[in-house]
Amino acid sequence: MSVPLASLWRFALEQSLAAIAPELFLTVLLLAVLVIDLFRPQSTRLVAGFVSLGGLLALLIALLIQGPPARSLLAFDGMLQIDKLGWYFRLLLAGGHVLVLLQSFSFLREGRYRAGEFFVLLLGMHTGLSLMAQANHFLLAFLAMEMASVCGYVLTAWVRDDRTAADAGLKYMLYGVFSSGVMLFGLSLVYGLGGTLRFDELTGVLHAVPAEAGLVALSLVFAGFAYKAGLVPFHFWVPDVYQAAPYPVAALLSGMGKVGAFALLLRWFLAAPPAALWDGLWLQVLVILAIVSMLWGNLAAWGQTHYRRLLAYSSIGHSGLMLLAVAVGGTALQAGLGYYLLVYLILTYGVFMAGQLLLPWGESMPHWSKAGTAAQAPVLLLAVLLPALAGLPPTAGFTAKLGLFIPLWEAYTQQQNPWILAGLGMGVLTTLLGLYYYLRPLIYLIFRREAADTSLQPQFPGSLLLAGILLAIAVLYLGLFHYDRLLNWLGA
Amino acid sequence: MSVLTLLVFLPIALLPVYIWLPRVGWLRALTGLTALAQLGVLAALAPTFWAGGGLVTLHPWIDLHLGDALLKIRYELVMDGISYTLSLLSAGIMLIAVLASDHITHRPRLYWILLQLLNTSLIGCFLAQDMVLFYIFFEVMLLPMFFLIGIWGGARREYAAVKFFLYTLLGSLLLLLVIAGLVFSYPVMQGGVRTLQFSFSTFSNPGYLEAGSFFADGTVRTLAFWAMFLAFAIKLPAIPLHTWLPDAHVEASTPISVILAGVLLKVGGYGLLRFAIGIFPDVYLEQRHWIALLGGLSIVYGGLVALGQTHFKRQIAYSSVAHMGFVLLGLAAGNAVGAHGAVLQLFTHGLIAGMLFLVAGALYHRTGDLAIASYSGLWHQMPRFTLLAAVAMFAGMGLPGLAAFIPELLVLNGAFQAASTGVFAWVYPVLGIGGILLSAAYLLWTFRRMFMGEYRTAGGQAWALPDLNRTEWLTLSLPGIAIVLLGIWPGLILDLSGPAVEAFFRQVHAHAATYLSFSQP
Repeated sequence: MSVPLASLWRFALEQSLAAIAPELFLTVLLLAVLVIDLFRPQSTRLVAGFVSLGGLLALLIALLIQGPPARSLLAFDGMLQIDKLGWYFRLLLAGGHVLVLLQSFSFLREGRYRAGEFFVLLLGMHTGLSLMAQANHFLLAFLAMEMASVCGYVLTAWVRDDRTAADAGLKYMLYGVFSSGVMLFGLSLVYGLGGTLRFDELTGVLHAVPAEAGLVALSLVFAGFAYKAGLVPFHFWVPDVYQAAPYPVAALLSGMGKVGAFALLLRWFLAAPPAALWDGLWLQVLVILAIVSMLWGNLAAWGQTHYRRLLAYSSIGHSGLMLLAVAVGGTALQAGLGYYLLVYLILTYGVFMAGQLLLPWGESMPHWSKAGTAAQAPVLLLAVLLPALAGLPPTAGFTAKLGLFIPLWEAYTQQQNPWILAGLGMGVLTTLLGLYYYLRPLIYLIFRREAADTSLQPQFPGSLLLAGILLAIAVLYLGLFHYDRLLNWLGA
Repeated sequence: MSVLTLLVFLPIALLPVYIWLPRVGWLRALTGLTALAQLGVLAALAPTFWAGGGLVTLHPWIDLHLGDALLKIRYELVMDGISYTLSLLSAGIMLIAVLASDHITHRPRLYWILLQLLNTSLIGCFLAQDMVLFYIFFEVMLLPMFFLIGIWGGARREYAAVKFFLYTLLGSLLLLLVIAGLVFSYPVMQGGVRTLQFSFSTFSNPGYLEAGSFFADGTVRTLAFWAMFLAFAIKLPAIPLHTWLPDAHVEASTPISVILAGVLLKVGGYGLLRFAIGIFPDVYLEQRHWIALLGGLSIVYGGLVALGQTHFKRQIAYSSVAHMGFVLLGLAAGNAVGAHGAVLQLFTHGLIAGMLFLVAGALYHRTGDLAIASYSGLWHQMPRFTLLAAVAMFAGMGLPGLAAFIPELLVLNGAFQAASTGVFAWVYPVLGIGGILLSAAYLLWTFRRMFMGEYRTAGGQAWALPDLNRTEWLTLSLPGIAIVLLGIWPGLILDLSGPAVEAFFRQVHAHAATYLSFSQP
């Protein structure tokens, strides 16, 4: 008995829809929050936030209960790949979103704008990032990226009467639009050369294409993703946006934005390893870009006195290292990158939260020396998180870097590719360079601490403090115990 | 729980008390008691080491699956005679530093917490056998030191602290690079599974070296040895990597200088001996003459620069550089005699430099001025102080009867033996002797300038220079007694570390022969 084609198609569709249930849920939640915001008056503006938080917690619990999928599945005729890695990234993004919500409540309480839209945009960004993390097709990746980016543009310029924020938002948008255009042009070249836009078919079709044409096409496509990830030379928006966007948004872009961008790059390079194309020439290009990003980010941060600009350049440096890992590829580096993204998410939220706690003393670090003993809580937080970002033991930052350096060495000894060694050496060198500027906030807060100005005794929001403590404990715990379980699970 | 774990983690285990105890004054006593407890444990262990034994603690910790291989980071602590000696030094110096910290009024709680963290990481460094564990302790040492120098230091403390941190981190990262790479070339088959261990016993065993692997190649081994050497030479410090030391020592407060000179520098010497030489014995034996060169340079350069100093603490700092040059020279000799001398020099220098910094500290707390020219004829004003300062300074010169003579003698003996067999040129041991002469020159000159002659100070009548009070007496006599004791009875330490040093060098020579046989067709 032959099965009718229509029912087969419907079955595949049902299966695909079931596979993206979390994203569908997020969309429904988005619409619900939008509707609530339309019909509830101003005074209950945070209702939307609580609905959003509740929905996200439900999503987290559902994801944890359901567990990772037993086998990987291609949904929507190869558009998406639903597998264990995707489940992990969904968890990371959901967890990150919850953290951002906690951070944004205190921010929005003081503001005068309709908070409901904020949560809608957050959900939109989350959905886009979630789809990015599971993409298997360039067009879907493009759509998801645009969805996340557009929400990001508006979120950056959220505070409407802040000119620098509007400036940053516009810059973000212009860069984004330009990169998208470049990427689309690259995609058209890829389609013309290869006839497919699926990640998993890419190596097969581009193999026969001459290196010059293929490299141009792939580089143009890469430009769009590199822009989202904040890699040199598509990074110019990063310092301004991190500096001027509202704190929760900056933390969001730095944490979840990077998770989404690198999850997407991981998907692409897992399915189409750079080393397989044109005798490793494409890999070479990527490694060079990674080295440049690492150097640029870490060196430019040296001169910064504005806290968030410092964090912005440091995130460019981290992006460079992550690009190196994702380009060289392999299961060990895939696991290491997944772990690095988790640790980086925790750390970046922590440092932005600490920055938000230190807002009463401004954002220019030299002024922080006036913080005195009133700032003890954020100072302690920074004393744990900044060395972690620098990669010092016994924090998770060290184990995250170790989780990348060891597989990179292994890759070098197996492939004997000098570029890998160069990248590894540069990763180690930039760790050294990074320490200098990661210590700077501590120098201003601790070494140059002036007599306490007792007129300023701000009340730190409890939610932020609690979140900060939990993050610091997580950072120290993951630095010493059980990170191997996570790495083994990711690599399996 | 093993005694080694207790020894390492006792200070950290008490940290919750430090955070919540309301009476901050008790924290100093608690820190001192911790150091005393560690000394007690070590004293109880002494018979084991006099008999030439050792102690091991081994637990699985982190197991990573890398493809078909299993990467293991283990909680592995090993104490042999060498680590026993240095742990003894570490606990003793920590006790002395606690005694010397009676002037800490600024943020005391943080100070004591940082000292306890430092205590754990220092002893951990000497005991860790797994190289990732060692690296963790090695790095954890840096952050408390950074804060200790930067918060309680002198005028340029921030500059000194940042320079210290960045300079030593450079070395650490080189070490990390080598460690991460080595693990792939020394696979161990355990139960059919290709196991990659970071254990020093694995890396030092040529039997595990995989033929054709990355670190089987001679050039790579040479580069890796020098990378590791660099990492530890920065800490030692050896010329020309020493520039962080004078600033760090001058700017740090007295007890921190004592710990820095007394123990931190020894970690560099220990790392060189145990890890750099232990893992790459073939490169070491082949290229000893370079180590001897650096040693000779350090001795002479350190001595000459010390001669020209006008700041007392800076002079002691450069004299530390010179003394550590003896360690390098002794290690370069490649025979057991030289190594005995090097290890003993590490121990005695810790005591002597510690005592010299305490001498400087006593003056600094009275007047705040450490220029040598500001003092003259202190003998008349502070006779008891002069006695102890004389012990310290004469010991620094290597006067027979005081602690530094025997190790320097052993080092020179070993160096001359090596020179006579053509390992390196005669000039290096001769430079060593010249270095002793130089140390006599600047220490005697400083002693004469500051303590002899008629009593005259830069502050004149405004400076009250009372003699030592009871705490200072105790603080200074403890290392003083140890220095005199070791001068007469160096066997106290030599018998503890001796068997381990002998065994270690036998292993070095045996393994080097094995490595050389690999490269022969």
